[in-house]
Amino acid sequence: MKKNLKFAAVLALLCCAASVFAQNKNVQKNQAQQIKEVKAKIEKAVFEVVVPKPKEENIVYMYDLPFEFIDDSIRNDKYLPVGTAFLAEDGLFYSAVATFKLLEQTQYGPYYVRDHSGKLYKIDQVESFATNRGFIAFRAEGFDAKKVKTPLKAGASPGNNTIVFSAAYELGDGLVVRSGMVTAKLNEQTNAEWKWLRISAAAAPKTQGGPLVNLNGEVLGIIVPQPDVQALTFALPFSEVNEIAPHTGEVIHHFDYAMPSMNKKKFAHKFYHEVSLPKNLETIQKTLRTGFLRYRFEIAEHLVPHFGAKGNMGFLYSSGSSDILSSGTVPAFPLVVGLSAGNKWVFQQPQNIYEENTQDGGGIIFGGMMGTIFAVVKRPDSIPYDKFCLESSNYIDYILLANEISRTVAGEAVPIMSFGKALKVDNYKDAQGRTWYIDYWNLPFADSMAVSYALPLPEGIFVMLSVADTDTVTALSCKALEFEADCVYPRYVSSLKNWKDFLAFLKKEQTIYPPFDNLTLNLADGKFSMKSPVISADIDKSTFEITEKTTFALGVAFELKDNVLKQKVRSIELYTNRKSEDYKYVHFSENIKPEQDARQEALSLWKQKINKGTPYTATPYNQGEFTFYDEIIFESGTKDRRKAERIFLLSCEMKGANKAAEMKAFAEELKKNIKISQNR
Amino acid sequence: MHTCFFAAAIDYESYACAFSSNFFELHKLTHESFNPAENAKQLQRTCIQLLRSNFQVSSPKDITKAAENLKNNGDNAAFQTAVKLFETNKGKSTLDIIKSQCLPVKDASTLFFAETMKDKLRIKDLSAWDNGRIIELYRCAVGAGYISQENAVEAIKPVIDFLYSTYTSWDDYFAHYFAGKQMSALYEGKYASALEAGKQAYNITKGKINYGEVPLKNEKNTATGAGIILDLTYEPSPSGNQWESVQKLVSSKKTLDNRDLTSVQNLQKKFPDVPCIEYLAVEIQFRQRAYRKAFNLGTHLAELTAGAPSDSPLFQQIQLTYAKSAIKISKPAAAEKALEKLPESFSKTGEFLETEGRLFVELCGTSSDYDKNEDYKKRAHESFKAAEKAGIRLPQDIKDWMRLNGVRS
Repeated sequence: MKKNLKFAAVLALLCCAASVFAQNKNVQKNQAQQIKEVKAKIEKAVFEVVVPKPKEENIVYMYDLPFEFIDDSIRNDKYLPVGTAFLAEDGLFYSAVATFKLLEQTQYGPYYVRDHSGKLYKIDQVESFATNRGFIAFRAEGFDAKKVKTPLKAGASPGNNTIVFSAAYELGDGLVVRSGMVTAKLNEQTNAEWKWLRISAAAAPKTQGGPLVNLNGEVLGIIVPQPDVQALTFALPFSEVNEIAPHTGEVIHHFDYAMPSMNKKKFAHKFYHEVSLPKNLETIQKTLRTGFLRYRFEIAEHLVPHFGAKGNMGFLYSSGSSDILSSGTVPAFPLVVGLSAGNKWVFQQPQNIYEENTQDGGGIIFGGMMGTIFAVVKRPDSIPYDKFCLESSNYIDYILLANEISRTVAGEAVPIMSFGKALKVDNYKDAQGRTWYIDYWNLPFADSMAVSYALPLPEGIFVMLSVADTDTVTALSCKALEFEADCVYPRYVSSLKNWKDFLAFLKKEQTIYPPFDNLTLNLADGKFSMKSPVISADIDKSTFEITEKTTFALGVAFELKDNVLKQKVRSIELYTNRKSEDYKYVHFSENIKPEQDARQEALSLWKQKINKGTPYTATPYNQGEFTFYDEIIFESGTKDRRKAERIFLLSCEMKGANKAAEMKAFAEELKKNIKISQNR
Repeated sequence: MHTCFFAAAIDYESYACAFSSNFFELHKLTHESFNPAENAKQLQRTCIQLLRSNFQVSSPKDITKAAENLKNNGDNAAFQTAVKLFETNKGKSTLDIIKSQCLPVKDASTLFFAETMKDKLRIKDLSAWDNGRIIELYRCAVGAGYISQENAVEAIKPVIDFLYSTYTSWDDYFAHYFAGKQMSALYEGKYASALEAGKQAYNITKGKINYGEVPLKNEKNTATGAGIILDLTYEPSPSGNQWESVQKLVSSKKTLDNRDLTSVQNLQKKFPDVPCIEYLAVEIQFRQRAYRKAFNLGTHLAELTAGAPSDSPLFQQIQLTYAKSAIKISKPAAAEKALEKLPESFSKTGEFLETEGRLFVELCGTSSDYDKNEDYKKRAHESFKAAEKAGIRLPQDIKDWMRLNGVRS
């Protein structure tokens, strides 16, 4: 009996499982059947939005792009799909407005709709659009809407949990219909003016602009992208397209404008514009793109008088200015003045800095920060200075070699070796009077661009390189890089030979700027002489044997005089190869008393120096295999050192420990040879 | 204690009881003493309730204000304004005056009332009603214990003097009193029943009060009759009759909602381009957060009322709601234009200042100029603070905005 019962129970369970399995299979079958039916109803009314494939530019890749792994239909297609559109019963095409980049700069266009048989129609008159609602309604050239027998009819507003179907043209798959459900109706974010239809993930299409339809193939909504919630799929209820006044295009665009060097400081902006329609799509694009670009340029230009290098809330006048103005060191890597998260102006540099050198004397020191690659590219001996600075491929190719930028084809990332010849070159004279060389390159395969701002340095060139989509580079990156260029605190370090080439280049290009307008450097018969407004030196080879290979470094400081921002010499350094037996190092600098609101470390260091605390005792001391010397020199006539506003520091190093007497004599000679001026 | 009709001398108390007899009869209170609750202390509660529901008086300090209000802004004042509109707009139809003067529904109803009643009244006003109400107010206040009888009598003496010397008989007085009563009930669509109830109450009081013992100054014929009363029955014109559906809809509930939209749309068809009806649709859409619809309807309404007097309260509400809708759908320029149309006097109101503040919030960020945006921010703060001073309780979203957008000095 018990055995029979067990058997019956097992049988019942099996029956249950079989029934569930059969039900699931039926559901799947039903679903597939429904999708097939819906697709048949709508396919003639759904179109692909395409643009001509952009021409390949002069980009050089590490190896041939593996196009052979791409499907023939895609590879041989002369057009690039960018979205989906559908024909409604009013004879108009509807799509997502974002597909057409009405505001953004792009390399793509003109726009076409392509029907299920592959026939193309150029998009012509736009009848209505609203950027916040995300839709556009248009006509196409030569397209006879009457010939389409099944344009999409408007369906009744769906409730939550209604079964819906999304339709979209997807690359390589043609028209794809997916089924899902309306999972929620969510208020429009600004004023709850309408409710978005949120669709279950199952119905999420890969492209925007397609219709959301019901089982009868009636259109319920337009699938539009949501910038803030990319993971979810939303549709604009189709009835909302009638809310816009007839023959009107509305731009209601809210965006944050930010300068990357001003951490977290965002300026909320709104771009409103109304266009009377119908008008040609290209005319609208041209008008709006120009207007929006100008608007963003103006925002940047208006920020400069406030937050720029000379701005009333910039680094010269706001929190952090004391530290920046009292600095005069030679940084290991160029610094950019930026606004910290704590709303204080500080020197910034990439967190991770990498260095690679080549056999020919060239090399690169680089790092990434604020979405930009910052690099010092050292000039190889084989390339003359002029050529190196004036032909951007000489330094950009170095950056590409060190910092890989690639293009993905058939899932394979192929490194770019060279952007090729620049599309456009330009100059920018920054707030300090320095000339930056600007180069732009197109990366059409991704509707992107690269822009570099380059500042010649004695050792090579300092480059800020930004790679982003076309709109970002055109409208934002260039202004952001100008903003940063104004505040760059570079490192002027190189051999005296390179210094000579550098100064000659500035003179030849007529781009000489402070402090180099008041700087003379000379090396003749083993005698080195330099002259700047505050520090000058005449060092004979009997004191320090200086050759063309000797490294000379200049430490500069920001100075604003008569509303002209410039940099002045505050320290000099001279040194030979640290590894050589006759290694010598000399540092001489003007030190300015920091303001009371400066960093505690700066205030302590100042106190240490004026009190001649260790190591500033003018007594040679050993450290490893080297002898060191640090002496604080007060201006003549200083009676109370606590009241000193500036002091001078002489620091020396030489190879070999216990060379106190030699070091002392060396320092005494240098003190005779280095002169300071009363100028400030 | 004074008694009304059994005392030897005829005094103010007696006249007060007679002039207010209709009201107290309707509310089943006594005519026998000035204090309607004197002989039945339990009636004190009734008096307190009557003060609250009929005169918006809830404490002794409200009495004088309520009396002043009846005197200056009572139904007679509205009636007189309507009569004046006919004089200044001779040759125009009532509906044309409603349109051109941008009258709200209530004032439009008054205009229709005045259209036929202005020629029927012997004395071209409704002061019998408002003054009668003042007496009712003071007697109720005595009954409620809010005021002494002596003070009440002192306060109503001028009113009684006026009524005593103005009307030629009690029928004449009550005919005018009922005319006012009808106008007052007009807004609830109950003027006919109000008249009927009043007339019945008058007939009852005739059995309780000997009106002959309180003759009026110019009384020639003390005989009572219903003839004059019937003469002053409000009989609306055909348009006035149609207009009752508008008044009824507005009076049916405190605020109209989406369910009333069809009724409003029907009225729009019946009375095309009448601002107060168009505005009902705007208001419903705005309240439903259909700002786009409210704005589109408002655009049409703004065109309709382009030449309307700027001191019209409806015109001011139209502009304000239009500005609010425009702000909600990111059209600050339209909002700015609407607010500019409002008169200086209106720009001091809390509602205006709050809307102005919201406009500045909306304008923040619309300029590429950093300084200009900072200025908008500053002006938004100023407007919100002024709105608060003007008695507006700022909503949380504004408070949050103010907290997050401190102004840099």
